Amino acid sequence: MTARLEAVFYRVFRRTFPISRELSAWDVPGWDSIANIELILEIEKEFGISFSTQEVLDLKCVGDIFDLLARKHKPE
Amino acid sequence: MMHLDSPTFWLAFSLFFVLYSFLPIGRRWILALIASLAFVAAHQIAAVCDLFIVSLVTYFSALQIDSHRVESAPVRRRHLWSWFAIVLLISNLVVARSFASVAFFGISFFTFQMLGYLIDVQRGQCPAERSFFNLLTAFTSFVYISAGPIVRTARFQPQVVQPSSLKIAGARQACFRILCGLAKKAIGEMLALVANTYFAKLSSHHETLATWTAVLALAGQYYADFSGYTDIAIGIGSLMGYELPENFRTPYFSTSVADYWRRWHITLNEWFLHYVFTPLCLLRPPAFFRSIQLRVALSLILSMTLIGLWHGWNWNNLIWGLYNASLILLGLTLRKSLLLDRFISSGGPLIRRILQTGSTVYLMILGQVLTRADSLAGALRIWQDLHFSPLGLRFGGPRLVLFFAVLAGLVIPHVVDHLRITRPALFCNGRVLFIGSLFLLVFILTFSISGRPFLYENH
Repeated sequence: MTARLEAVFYRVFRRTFPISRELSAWDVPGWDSIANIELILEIEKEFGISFSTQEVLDLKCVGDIFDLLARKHKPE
Repeated sequence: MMHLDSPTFWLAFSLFFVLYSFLPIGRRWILALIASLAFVAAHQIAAVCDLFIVSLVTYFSALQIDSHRVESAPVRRRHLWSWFAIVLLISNLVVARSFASVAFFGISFFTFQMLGYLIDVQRGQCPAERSFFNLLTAFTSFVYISAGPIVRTARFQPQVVQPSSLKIAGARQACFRILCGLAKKAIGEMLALVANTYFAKLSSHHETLATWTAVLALAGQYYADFSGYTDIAIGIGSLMGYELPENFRTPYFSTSVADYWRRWHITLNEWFLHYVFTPLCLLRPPAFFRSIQLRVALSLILSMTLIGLWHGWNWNNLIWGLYNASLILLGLTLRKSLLLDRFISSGGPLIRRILQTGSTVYLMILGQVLTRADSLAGALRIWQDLHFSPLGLRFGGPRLVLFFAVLAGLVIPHVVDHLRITRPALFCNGRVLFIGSLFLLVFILTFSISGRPFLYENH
């Protein structure tokens, strides 16, 4: 899952960086509200899931994304 | 009219504050509600009636939404109540903004607060408030009803019912913040004199330095006036035991247009992020809208257009909204292609910052011309005069003095706010606060032109 998420991050930010649970928008230059929504939409597309507005607005760090994915995404 | 910088207001507030301080904390909201209704009535009696009716609709609709949250209740009924109240509130706002004769005082601010509250209840973010009068107190507070910040009712409601008690240190900081706001209002009024003189004569060309002086005065006036109001509101809020959200973070020090919109009128932009932009992006689109970039771009264009129209129900503001959306999208595209980053990174960090901030301020100032000019043709003429005026560029002693005085009026409030944000300890120091307050008091008494409405009070 981490490798797929890293690929999604690359598509949005056009650069590679290590993904950790603690990583948040404060640590990544350019991770603003627009990049954030692009990231969410890319994750939806990559994993075939959908998020609600509240889930998106409650995200604070990458750990929250992992938790949401674990809850919503059932690997084949 | 009772504006937050008028002697009448401060006389009334002093009497109110003495009574408020003597009341038990749990009862203070009653006096706050009476004072708020009196404040609105002093501006416009009809606004009190409108406020009362839409508050009742919001209150009952939220209760209905909450009561249909149980699993056995049909979801459609909950949505029906939400949409009923949302459509009614928006219709009330649109009708009021379309006809000047029914433009109710503070309508844009209280409508957005009520809409946010309803959507939060619908999303299950907060329970519906059971006490109508508690809710009315949160909707009508004189502290922010006329020009923001737009508060989230879920967060603010508990503070109304149980405000925190005031400490001496907090009171000193609150008074200093109020004085900063009043001083900014005085600066805004002086800058307005320069801007108004210029914008009153738009039918012909002006020379370049005079045009730059006028547009910088306009930029300074917008910031000093609106952030000055916010300072006063936050200061009064602190005295009353409320913690209001910040509304500005030195926007003219931004490094991109998107960054600017995160620092200017923060509570309005967060409102649009929560209730318009994010839900629009997450809509399940038809096949031809599957492109993520297209969905984000369309949501951004719609959100920025609505932000433009919120500032004024006319073509100028609509174009201004589209102008800002285009710039943000252009910035995103350049950032994605890494062209801009490579170009800016070729200099050192200081050069990079100067280039980023300089270009952002330049673009924002061009945009503000759209909101102030009487027509698109007038705005285009100003844009031409800023760069290649047919009358040329004339330097003269008085012209240069005025230009630098205006520049100081734009920069000094920003520098003070920058220090407040980056060095908060400085603004807790008793000696600094005392000397600063004395200086501000003398400045306000010397230069204040009180009694004129704040710009955003027109909303």
